[in-house]
Order: sequence, then C-alpha cells, then structure tokens
Amino acid sequence: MVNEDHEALLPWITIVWNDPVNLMSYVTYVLQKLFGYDRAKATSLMLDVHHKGKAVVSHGARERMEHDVARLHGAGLWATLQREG
Amino acid sequence: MATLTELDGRLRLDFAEAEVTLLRDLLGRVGDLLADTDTDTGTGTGSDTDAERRTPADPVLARLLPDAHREDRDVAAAYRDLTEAGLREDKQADVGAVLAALPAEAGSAVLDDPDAWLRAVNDIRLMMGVELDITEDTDVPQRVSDQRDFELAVYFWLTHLQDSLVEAVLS
Repeated sequence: MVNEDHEALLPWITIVWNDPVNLMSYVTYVLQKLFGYDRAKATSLMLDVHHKGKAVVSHGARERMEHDVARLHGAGLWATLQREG
Repeated sequence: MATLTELDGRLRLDFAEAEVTLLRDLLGRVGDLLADTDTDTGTGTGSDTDAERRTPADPVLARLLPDAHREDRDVAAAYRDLTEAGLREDKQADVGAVLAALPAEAGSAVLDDPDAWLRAVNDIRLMMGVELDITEDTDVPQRVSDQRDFELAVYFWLTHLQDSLVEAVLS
C-alpha cells in the first residue's frame, strides 16, 4: 500500500555507488557519521554497495538530498541523487 | 611504516622522513588539482550567461568532484553550480590541515581532526586510484621493479594507513 501524500513529500533519493578505492570500513564509518545510522544499519548499506553495486542511503526532498550528496562527496564517496522510483 | 598510537584520547602518527616527503608531495598534487579552476572549469564555450558547469575534463577531478546525477545533465549542472566551489574549498582545507600537522622531517603528527585526515588520505587514494586504474582485483606488488610498482606500493601503504585510522575512530 502506498501513501501518496508521503510520496509527494519524499520524491528524491540519494544513492551511494560501489567503487574500487573506498574501503568497506570507511564507507561504514561515513554512513554512521553522516546519517547517524547504527553500526548494523551502516554495515548493511555498505554491503549492498559492495555486493549489489549501489544502495539508497537516504530519501527526502531534493534540497535535502543535495545536502546529503554534498556531504558524501566531501567524504569521497561516489554519490548521486535522483527522483525516487 | 607510519605507526598510529592513541594517547589520552588523541591519535598520533609517527612517520619516517620518506613517508612525510611522500605525503607532502601527494597532498600538494591533490591541492594543486583542486585549486586549478582556470584550465579545467568545465565551463561551456557559449556566452557567460548560458555557460554551465560540466564534469571536469580531468578524470581525477571528475572523481573528486563527481556528477550528482547520472542521466539528467541539467540537475547535475545546477548542482555543480551550487556546490563545486564549496567542495573544492572543503577538500583544500583538509589537505591544508594535514600538511600543517605533518612534521618537517621524521617525527610525529597529532591528529586534532581525524576526519580531515581520513578525507585527505582518501582523496589521495581516489587520485591514485584513477591514475593507476585500480580495480577490486589490483594486488599489492610483490616486488618493486618499475614506477608503477612503486606507486602501487604507495597506494597500498595509504590504504593500510586509512584502514588503521578508520579502526581507531570507530573504537
């Protein structure tokens, strides 16, 4: 079931892509630090990045996602934003 | 090999002279690339009003300052207009912070801002990753017989340093 009001408010996502340089431990640390995720959640997202090639690390308004991408780029992670769906 | 120790809650790195020289050189290269906005702004050739920021032509800069959208060039350009100058400044500040903390020769550096070290060392690794065409299958060279082997050895030295730093900040 889809809550349409909710979707209208949260139409963008931030994606972190796999790359051969960033260490798994560093990606986990950055996700914990930037988003306040606990170790388990950050590790799970990192493993998705590593094994599936990408992971959605946040979703929300476009401006908010731009902020998240900027912080991820600041840390050297390969991040993009796009419309959800 | 640089040694990381923790004393009274502060991280300290002890370096051999050759390591300090290498780090200064590499940080200088990252800093110079980020500072060079004249030759590689990625700006279009049209008039100033319709010029838009594009992906840097230099592949290292394109990795340090990546596109924020994979397909939509307008979104990527608008984002770059808003953020690229700030991102360059932040990364240059990290480089500057590490350079300022490094000893003049063999000696120790106190890491007042470990995150700045993590970001700066990682940016060096990202630069070298592009230059050396690093993949997930790239191995530590067993012996150093040419320039590429040497640079790979430096890359993996920085990887080890980065890993030690992450472990220290996580614990």
